Amino acid sequence: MPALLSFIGKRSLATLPILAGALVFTFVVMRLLPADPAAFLASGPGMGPEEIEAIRINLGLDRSIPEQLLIYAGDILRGDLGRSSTTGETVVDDLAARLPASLELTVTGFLLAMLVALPLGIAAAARPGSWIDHLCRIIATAGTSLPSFVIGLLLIHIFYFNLGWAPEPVGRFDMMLFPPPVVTGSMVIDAVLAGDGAALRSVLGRMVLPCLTMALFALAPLARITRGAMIGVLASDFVVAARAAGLPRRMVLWHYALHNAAVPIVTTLGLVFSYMLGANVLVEKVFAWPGIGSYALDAVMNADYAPVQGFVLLVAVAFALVNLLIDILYGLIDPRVGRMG
Amino acid sequence: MMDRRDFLKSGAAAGLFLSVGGVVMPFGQAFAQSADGASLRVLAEDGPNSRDPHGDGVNRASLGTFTNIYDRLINFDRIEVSPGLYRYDYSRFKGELAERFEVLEDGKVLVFHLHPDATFHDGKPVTAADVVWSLERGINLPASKRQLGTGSIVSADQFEAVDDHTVRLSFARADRYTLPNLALTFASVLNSELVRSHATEADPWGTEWLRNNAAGSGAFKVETWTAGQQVIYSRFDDWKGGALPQIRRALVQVVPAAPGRVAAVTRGDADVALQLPPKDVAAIAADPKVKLISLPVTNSFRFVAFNTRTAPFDDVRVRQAIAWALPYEDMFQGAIFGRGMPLYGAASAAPEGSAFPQPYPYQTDLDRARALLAEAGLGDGFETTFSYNVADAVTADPIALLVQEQLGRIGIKVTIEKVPTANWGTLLTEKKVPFYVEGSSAWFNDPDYFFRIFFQGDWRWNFGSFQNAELTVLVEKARWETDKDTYDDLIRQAIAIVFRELPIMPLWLPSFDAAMQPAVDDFTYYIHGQVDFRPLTKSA
Repeated sequence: MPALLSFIGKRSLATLPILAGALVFTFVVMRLLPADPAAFLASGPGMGPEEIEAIRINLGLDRSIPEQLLIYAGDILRGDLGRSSTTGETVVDDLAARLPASLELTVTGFLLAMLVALPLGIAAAARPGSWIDHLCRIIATAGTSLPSFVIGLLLIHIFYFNLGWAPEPVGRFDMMLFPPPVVTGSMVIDAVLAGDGAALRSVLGRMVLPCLTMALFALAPLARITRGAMIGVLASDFVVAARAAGLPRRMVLWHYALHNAAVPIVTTLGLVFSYMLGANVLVEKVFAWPGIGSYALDAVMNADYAPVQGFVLLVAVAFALVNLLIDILYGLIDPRVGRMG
Repeated sequence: MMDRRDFLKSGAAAGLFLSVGGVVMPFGQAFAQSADGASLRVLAEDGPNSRDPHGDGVNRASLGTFTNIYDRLINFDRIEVSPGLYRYDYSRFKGELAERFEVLEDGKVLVFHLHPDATFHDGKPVTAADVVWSLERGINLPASKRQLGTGSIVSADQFEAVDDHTVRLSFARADRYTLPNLALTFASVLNSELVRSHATEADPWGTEWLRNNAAGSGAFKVETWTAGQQVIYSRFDDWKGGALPQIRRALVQVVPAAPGRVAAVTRGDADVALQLPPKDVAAIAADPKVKLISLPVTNSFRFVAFNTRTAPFDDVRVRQAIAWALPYEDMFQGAIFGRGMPLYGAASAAPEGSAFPQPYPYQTDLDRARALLAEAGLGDGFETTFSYNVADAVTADPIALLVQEQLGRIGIKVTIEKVPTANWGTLLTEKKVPFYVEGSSAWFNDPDYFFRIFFQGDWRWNFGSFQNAELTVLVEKARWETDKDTYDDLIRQAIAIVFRELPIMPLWLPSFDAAMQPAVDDFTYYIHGQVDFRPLTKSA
């Protein structure tokens, strides 16, 4: 255990420079863009150069970039990520309110995708050329070629608009009901904690279509990598040896082969998860889901620096955490990796 | 008033309470749709971002918030367009906080008598001191200063609290833009004691606080505010600014994707859907289950602009050639499905009356276009870019493609440039776009007001970067002209100049469209195109 803790400690320290780098990079890139937030904000007809200048001073944009960066770094150390001009709230409050919504969608969609993709990929690899292998290939191709928002709109059109089976695709909760008290921010968990059956049904009902959309989006890479990794391992010498030794087929597949194919699969799982968390903007837009992705997109469109920087920082932290988890999993899968840490 | 931090805290507290005591306390607000038709659910593309009517960077959705949570001294009266549908009447006013008002000394003095029983949401009476302080705040903050200035509301010594319920405004000369400005959200009356109690030395007008809090006397209070997602309003039962609204609670929810808004209103799950794309409007119009209202927006227009200070668009013949070449009908149908009022194809070359915008005397005539290009020495054509704002793509993209195709026929090779929204304002302010499509609107519809914003000055709103000394003189004369015939004559001369010189070529007035349940009635269209809950009725 102490070894694991010191491994986690060392890895966490190593991420600090990366986070700082991400921070400075985003800060500078945002300011190198040709967009002037003051000109954007002075969008009322009749607002002229004096108004733009007054807004620029209010935003602190009249100072030099290094000076602005210093002020921003000081604010971050105090836990202040600035204010969003798009929503009018502080970035910390906005992200805190929206992260649970994104996590709920991502985690559920991810688990769904994993539950389908891993068995599918393994089965396809075990019987190359069979119907299940073709199915796997079709899903992988369709998932890669269909943009997620098209899938989302298609699902809405069929299940809400035509059939009326799904609830209205607007937000996380039916506004006709009392929302459960906010404890964790995840409405599923909050509804369970409150023991509110009606609320839970409403929350779960509204998650079905967006989660399916997210899952279909994640299915393709997961199934493809699982299939590829398994095929490689199944063709290797030790599997041939194990088979020749007459070990049961099930044992060879699940115990020896899967264990050895696990490293690339876990890597892909981590990548897909991180990607889903930050890049599900379109799904959030289509389902009016109040997540961090659509928040960041709106901010970019509105030349709103603070939320974009806050978002990048949050996603950088999430990537770092996921990578840390993957490294720990590597150590568990393959003890040789663990010793190196 | 709860802010989000309190909201989270009380949420956590309620959760704790639940787990300990096991008592179910209904926390938060369900939006119960009662059978008496007292609640309303509106779906919009954006949510409001401020509660400060003088705030920086306030978005359009916030104007709806200001209208409902604040009162002005006066409001525009309304006219019935068709049974159960109204539009604001720019020329007539009715009292809101003012029970009545007097125009004295030929308009140089305005006296407003406040409703004696009016109170703010916290119960404090609305006094003349609040009105004076709110106007002072308006002329001191950058976002409202210039607009109020267009109505000669410029200096604190113009405002006087005669007694607790009488406000006197005085002017060096009568200005026809004073009353319309007082009816805008920029002239909202704030609870001065409340805002001042949150002001700091660095922020004497309490802008930090007011952004996330309200201090009004309006017909509705903000019940919950979830930025970027939804706002729930509840009726202020002691409202004195007009007849008590029928709507008791209103929910405005953000649904960014248009198909979501359209589907919800079509299926009867939402009462009102705003910001509908033109192609969906056409489909909704054919659906008997949904009520569609459409009104031409007379203070807003769509146009193609030229940078008249750079070649080749500094040559008026090139601008005219393009105006003769544009495929107007195809654009009108292809981009907005014919939902609007054309501003092209006038039969006579002379202006028709003094209304503006009015149709320009240009239509598609490629021979004339070619002749003008040849006259300008560009018979072989030239290369240029045609730009639009990505956020505007639904309308601008088809326009750009049609322009590109059509101008190719007269030898002009057009490259389409899609500019990210964040950059668009900067590029237009710096006058870096040679040829583009854009839409814009002015608060008021008087032609001289329009001309001052769109055809002169060194700012973004002079989209054609136009400079014309003769026009400036005409518009300046018209600004203070009180004789109707003289005014019309001046404006007709000004219109003749822009017809000929073409700093921009207007395409059409857009249409304001909203889809709603047939049960929703008495919708009143207001300058900003948001929902005013106060006059709305909804049958059970």
